[in-house]
Amino acid sequence: MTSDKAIAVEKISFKDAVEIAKKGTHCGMCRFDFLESGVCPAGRKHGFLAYWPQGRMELVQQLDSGRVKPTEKLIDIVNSCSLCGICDKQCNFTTQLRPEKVAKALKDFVDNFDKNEFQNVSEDDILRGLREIVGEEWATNDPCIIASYTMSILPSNTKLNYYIVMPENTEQVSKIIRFANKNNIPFLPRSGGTAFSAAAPTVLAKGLSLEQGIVIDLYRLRKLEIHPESCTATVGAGITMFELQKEALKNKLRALAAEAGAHVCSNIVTTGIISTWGNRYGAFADNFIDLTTVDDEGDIKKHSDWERNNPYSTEPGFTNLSLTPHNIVTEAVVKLHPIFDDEEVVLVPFDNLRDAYRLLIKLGKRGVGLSLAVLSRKYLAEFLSPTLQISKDFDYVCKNYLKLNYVVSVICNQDDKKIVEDMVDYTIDQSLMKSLILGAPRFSTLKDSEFMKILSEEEDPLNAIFAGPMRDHLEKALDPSPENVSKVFDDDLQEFFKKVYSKPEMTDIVWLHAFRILPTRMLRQQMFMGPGGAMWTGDENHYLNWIQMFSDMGDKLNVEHSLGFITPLDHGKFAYMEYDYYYDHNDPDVCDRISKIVVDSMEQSLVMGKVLTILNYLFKGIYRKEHVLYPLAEGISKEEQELFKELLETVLGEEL
Amino acid sequence: MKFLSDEWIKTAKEITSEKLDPEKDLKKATTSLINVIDNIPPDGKSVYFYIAVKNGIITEMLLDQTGSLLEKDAEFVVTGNYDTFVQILKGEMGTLIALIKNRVKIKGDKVKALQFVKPMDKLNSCLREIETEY
Ligand SMILES: Cc1cc2nc3c(=O)[nH]c(=O)nc-3n(C[C@H](O)[C@H](O)[C@H](O)COP(=O)(O)OP(=O)(O)OC[C@H]3O[C@@H](n4cnc5c(N)ncnc54)[C@H](O)[C@@H]3O)c2cc1C
Repeated sequence: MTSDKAIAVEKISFKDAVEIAKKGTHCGMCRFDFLESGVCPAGRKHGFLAYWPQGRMELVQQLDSGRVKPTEKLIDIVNSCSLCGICDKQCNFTTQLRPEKVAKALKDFVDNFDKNEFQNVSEDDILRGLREIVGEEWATNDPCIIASYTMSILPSNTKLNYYIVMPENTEQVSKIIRFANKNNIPFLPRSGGTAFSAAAPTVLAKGLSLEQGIVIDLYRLRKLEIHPESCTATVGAGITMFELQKEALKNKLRALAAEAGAHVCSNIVTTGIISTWGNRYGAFADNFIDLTTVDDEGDIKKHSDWERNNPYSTEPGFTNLSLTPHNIVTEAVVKLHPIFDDEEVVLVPFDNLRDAYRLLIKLGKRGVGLSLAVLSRKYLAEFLSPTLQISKDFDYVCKNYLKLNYVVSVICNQDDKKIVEDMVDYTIDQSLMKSLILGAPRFSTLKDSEFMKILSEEEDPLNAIFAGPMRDHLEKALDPSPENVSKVFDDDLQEFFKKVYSKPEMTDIVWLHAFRILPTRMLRQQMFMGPGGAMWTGDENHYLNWIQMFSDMGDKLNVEHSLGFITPLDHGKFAYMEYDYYYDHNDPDVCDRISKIVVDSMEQSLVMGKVLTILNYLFKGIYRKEHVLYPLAEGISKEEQELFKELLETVLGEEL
Repeated sequence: MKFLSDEWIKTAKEITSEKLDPEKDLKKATTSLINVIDNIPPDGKSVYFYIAVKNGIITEMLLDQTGSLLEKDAEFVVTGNYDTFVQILKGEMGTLIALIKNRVKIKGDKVKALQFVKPMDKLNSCLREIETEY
């Protein structure tokens, strides 16, 4: 039987699997245990992406497209999966996908494949060299394994001219780089793949991904030690934010955390950890005590080495643009922060952005709160809703009936809570938030209710619902319970989700803010792109006009869009803003429009000035914020704008 | 002919003076740059490739293995691996992408350097016409 025939025999189920796989967005949530369901045993054991649910899904697509032909390794890959179902629980929580079905289809495909047709892959000199460094098992040139890295470091249109290597320590990383240089082979590190996957469908992939060469998968650098006495942690490059946060919590400490599946070291390098806790805990080099880095010559250095040139400063200006890291961070000693017994969440609802922004900056400058942010209605809806449809209805109810368009979210101790409550007329507290999480399905059905219609006719519906007796009616109407929320999941998973939602942390907004397991719901079978940056807060109109520019661009290019969040930095002197565009990553036309937005919004931001765009932000995380943010340049000149455009044309050619 | 051989440099001088328009292609630029090409196979040595341009006319193209050309104080020093320069010359990677991906490093005024990216790409596509053995 030829391979083509094999695909034909399996056509229906395999095609179905491909359709599921296409909706995957490489969020990486299947690689750590965020629901206490366990984590894919095959992935943990073998490491390479092809052994993880996320990689299997990509592999199925790559086999279907014919970019990769089955190799003998594929037998090992499918045999390593016992169809235990952990991936279904995890993935369903975030994306409602069922990766196990895909794994099953892949198994069937391999079972029906003619054993004589498997491709043989031989070891070459480069692979031999890499294996000498990391051991036989941890380096490969197998096309099936390589293909599984597509869209999360490798582009989809290159030859599979790569090696994947999984070092175990800093010395091995150094040796790999020296070896790569000696053989003139490009290389690039990969951690959680969350930044790569968000960039992959867009023009940014050209700069971010690896066109050929050696992928250094850092997953095996798994050192994690908490030092409670110094409130620090030593974290290897393979550790995710979630894993660090979990260990820190055992010691009543908290790390500055962003995306749960992002690796800590990578997040430090890539963005300096953009987080709603940043005003209090810091940003960029504030995050760490020390870093161990390997530079592009393979030299190992530590930031703490007092004899080295200043590693904390970087060149100012818009030309300081880099889409790959200058160093590989293999280990970081990060700061941890105390958790207080009286921490709580206070949310202040707003119908308009200006008022929300004002309160946020005021709180930021006064140093109130531990975590501070304006969150958009869309964000709230995405995070709190267990399914995509519920999130849409949730959003509709907030917009059309409640006029709840933004909230200022404050995590704080009781003293700060009083300050916030004194400053505003009404707030949403932890108890109502809990009801909104457990009652999200019911809340979304209020779309057609008389109660909401009456409420929307109030002059100030927010006041009516959050400051008056209607609040209790709402809470009752939501009928919140773990059982009710679990009913929206597939039948066979309902019992599991009932238990999940019964856990106190699943409705604890402070925990959810710190562990950040909900934001990947933005990648629920669709992609998002979140340009933005940090802007000086001194000129409110300038800030709000900047946000409006992103909104106008979304309208003009007909892409679903919404503000994501704004969070203050450096005692409210700056605020980071993310503006989100949601799109179908399988539709090339909308991907082109997203690319245009990335480029145009950067150009417009540079013209407006006093902003550090996200593209200029990238790979500055290891420097001092004072070097990165001060001074924020004025708008670029006409001449510089022309140059910028011309350069983009040379990079992007006719693509946009 | 062999990349970076004397013969190659001679042909490069001829072909660029014949085919590149000082105004349209090289934008009447006046500058000098030295490419430091590292890790040349088989023994991993480096080669220094110096180019001077005056009013869009290439006045010098020199090659050296000792580093003495660094004394010429070129306005820009561009450093990268052999393979990266080959990719650029073959047109597989643009100069700017190489820069953004940290495959080449530039010393000198960045804004000014960026103004030469397009002329450099023209120069490279002209050099691409030489039948080169890498
Ligand atoms: C849903 C979602 C929400 C997000 N929210 C936030 C947020 O709130 N705040 C925020 O800061 N970011 C956020 N991000 C962006 C992303 O999580 C960060 O950029 C993060 O740093 C990526 O980490 P990763 O481990 O996934 O890195 P990868 O995607 O694997 O790699 C990102 C880049 O870093 C390089 N790299 C990887 N590891 C290392 C290393 N050890 N040393 C040097 N370079 C390395 C890679 O080569 C690549 O260029 C979000 C992304 C998603 C998808």
